[in-house]
Amino acid sequence: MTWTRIALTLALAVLPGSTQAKDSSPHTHGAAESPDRDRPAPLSGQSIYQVRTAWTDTDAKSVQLRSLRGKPVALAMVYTSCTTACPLILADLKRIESALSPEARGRVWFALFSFDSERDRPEVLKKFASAHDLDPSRWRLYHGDRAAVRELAMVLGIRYKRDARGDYDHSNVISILDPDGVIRHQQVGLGQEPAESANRLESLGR
Amino acid sequence: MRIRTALTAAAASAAAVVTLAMPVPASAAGPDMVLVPAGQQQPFFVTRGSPASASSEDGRSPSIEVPAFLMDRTPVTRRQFAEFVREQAEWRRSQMTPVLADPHYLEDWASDLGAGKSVPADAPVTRVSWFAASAYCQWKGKELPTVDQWERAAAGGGKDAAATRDKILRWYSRPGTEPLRAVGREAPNAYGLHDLHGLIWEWTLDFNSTLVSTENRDSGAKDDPLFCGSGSQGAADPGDYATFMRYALRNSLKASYTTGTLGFRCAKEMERP
Repeated sequence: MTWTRIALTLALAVLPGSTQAKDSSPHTHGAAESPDRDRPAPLSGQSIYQVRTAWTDTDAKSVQLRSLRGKPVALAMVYTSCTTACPLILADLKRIESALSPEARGRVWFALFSFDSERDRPEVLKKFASAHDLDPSRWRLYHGDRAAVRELAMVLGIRYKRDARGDYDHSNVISILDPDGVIRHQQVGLGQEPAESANRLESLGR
Repeated sequence: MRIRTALTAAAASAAAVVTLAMPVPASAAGPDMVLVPAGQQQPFFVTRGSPASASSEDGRSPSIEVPAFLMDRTPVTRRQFAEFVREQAEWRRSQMTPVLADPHYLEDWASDLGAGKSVPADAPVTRVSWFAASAYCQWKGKELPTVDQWERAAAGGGKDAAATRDKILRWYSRPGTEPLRAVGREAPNAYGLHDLHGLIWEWTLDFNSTLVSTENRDSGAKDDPLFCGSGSQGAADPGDYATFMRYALRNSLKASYTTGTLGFRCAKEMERP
């Protein structure tokens, strides 16, 4: 009896007119096919803002990645107790900031996401921001739990590993996002010329 | 055909019964997870500055402590994954966004809600991205196993290591075109886990954690103190080709990738006393 039911269930799944009728065609995306979803505006399927995990900003407020939506973003993952590569990646971000025209500078976000869920609490990040003179009108720093960190690293294609001392081996990548959160450029490695990233931010911010 | 259609309602209402009454291999009787006890695992790559390399300096085999954890006896099946997408509509093929899975996500399924009858429903689900696999495990209150957990589970307590290696290499040598068989049909390993080798590859939580290149050192400088973290890695046993292949595959993946031979199972850390 049970086996008959299983066979029937399987058979029914492929019959026209059964549940299959509700399917829309595969690989179509966005809000057009799903009117039941109440979204303000459809987000590009390539947007990293599709990731829904929550982060905490330096005011200890819970935010989603998509709170950055609307402006181009220069984004990097760091941890503040890192005394070596991370200051260099921050220096690279600042070089990009300096290379921007004053108008463009006011139209972009610079966002730092910490690998270090344990130590980089919001108040630590806040101190870090002021210690490094990061202009609060355009710099955002975020703390996330381990799952949020992992998911963001996955979506950015960043490799990392926490070592036995609590430090993080990680790829050094600056990602340039368009106002919809789609990755338009990635600057890989430390000490790169800022021109390419800056040009992207200029044009995306127009 | 007509009889089948007439029975739709009956079949649908019996869905819960079907779930409970699916044939279960005798060896998988009992809970769907097994305990892998805490123990030492020899990592394939040894990281400088880690306790592993510290212990290797005095001649002992480098190893790391893996706390006890629970692991699914078998890979997640198509039937189980279909239950997930029925409840979590955002993970249906038609709703998938490219950033979370490539265009081949579940492309071998007959419909949005099920694999169809071309393969057994208790064959492992494949063509799922890391994001989808991870979401499934969270839905179950579990997580994907870490690389360390997976490798410890797959080593099976070190029993029959040579035979396992041979089995893996034979599997590698077979073309991947054969349809996937049902899970749990081969003898379990020493922990009671099925199909860790010989059926599919499996996602791990931190598959992207192996930094074998110098990509985080791309400034060109070589001085140790310049860098975060502990630096380069070396293989603990360069002759272990079977394991090397797994690490090479993981290293080649991106979280949105899907392939016909890559599935997953879930794990769960034991509550610390």
